[in-house]
Amino acid sequence: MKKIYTPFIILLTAVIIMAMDPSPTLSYFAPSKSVAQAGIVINGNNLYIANNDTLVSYDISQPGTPAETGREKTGMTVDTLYMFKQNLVVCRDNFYGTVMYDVSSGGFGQSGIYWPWTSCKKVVLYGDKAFVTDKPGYSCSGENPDGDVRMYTISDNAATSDPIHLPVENVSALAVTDNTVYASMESQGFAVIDVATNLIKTTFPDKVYYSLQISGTKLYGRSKTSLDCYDISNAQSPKLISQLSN
Amino acid sequence: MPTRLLHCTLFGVLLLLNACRSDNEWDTNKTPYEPVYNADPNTKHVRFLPPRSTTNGGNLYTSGAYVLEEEKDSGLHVISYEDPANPKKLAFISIPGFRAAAIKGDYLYVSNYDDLVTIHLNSFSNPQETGRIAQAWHLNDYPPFTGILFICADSTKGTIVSWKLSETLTGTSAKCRR
Repeated sequence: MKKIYTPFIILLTAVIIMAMDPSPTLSYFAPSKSVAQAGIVINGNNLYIANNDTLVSYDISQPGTPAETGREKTGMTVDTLYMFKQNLVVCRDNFYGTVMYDVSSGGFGQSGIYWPWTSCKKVVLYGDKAFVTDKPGYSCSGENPDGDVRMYTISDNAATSDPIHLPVENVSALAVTDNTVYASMESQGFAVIDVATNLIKTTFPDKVYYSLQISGTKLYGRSKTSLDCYDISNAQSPKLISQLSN
Repeated sequence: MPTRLLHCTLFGVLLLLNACRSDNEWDTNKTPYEPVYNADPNTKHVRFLPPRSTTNGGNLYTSGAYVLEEEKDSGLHVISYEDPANPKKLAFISIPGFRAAAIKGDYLYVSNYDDLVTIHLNSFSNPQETGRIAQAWHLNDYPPFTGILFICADSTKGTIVSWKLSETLTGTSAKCRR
């Protein structure tokens, strides 16, 4: 008799526990999702966009009139697109992972590359390093979300599983060049970090940027009130050249 | 044997009951998502206007000594850094529903709501729209998330170009969920 009831009671308990779960839960909800949110990516004479769950490629050898050349279903709405060498990196909504397509031949081939992060707030690739930051409250790499910058070393088909954490927090903008990371923090301002030693070389505590962009030896930073331009000829000693107020 | 059969039947019934999720189990205190439709077709065009103040600046794009600065949802400021110490706003490219851009050479590719538009920059002095792919993007008629309430899509209102957390509606007014 006891043999009959024991499994029954266990199963009944499991069913009751399942029934008590109030609703499906998800850790992260984006405040919005828009068309073109994944961006527009250009590689040579090819332009890529993500239309819902479908990658679309265009030939732009006649730049004024793009012509569609291919489509590839990803199975999930695409959140982010960027290039790694000749691979199109595709992150899918709801953190359903990253898929990379070898686009060197013009089509969408399987790359066989695995990276341990998915939809991040920001990913910057430089040389053999990848720098990633989390979306608020949600880790894009399986670690606890902390808003810092994680640095991975990437090889041809993988990335290190244990990243190095850079000494910054609540990062709002990120740019990388020449062994140097520029990270703007929400409360502590703009920091310049030496990648080799993982040390902050200098900070600008009163400068908080929401977008950083490098072009040649210039670094541009968008703050709430101005667009600032720095000379980064000496990468770890940026010099403020101008502030264009709103 | 009849006892085992009874237990199996009871277990099956419990499983079926568990599968029947009542409406009350969805938390209607949650903010629902609502669809944003593509706007009036008359706004599906790009205009080249005199420079203006930045009110909601965003992403930055560069092309040589020029910076294009996103004005969220509405376009791009064109700024010359030919003299980096004295940057100068040259123009504003009005692009309703702007979200994304990419530059190659003299050509700028942008989203204008759900259209992909090509602009010939002509050294930023006389930009011209040269191509447009209508409805290059669209979104499903449900948000790309689960465990959420949302306002049901209405195809008569147009193509959905965004799903956003509602600023005015509550969960009780949401008839759709996933």
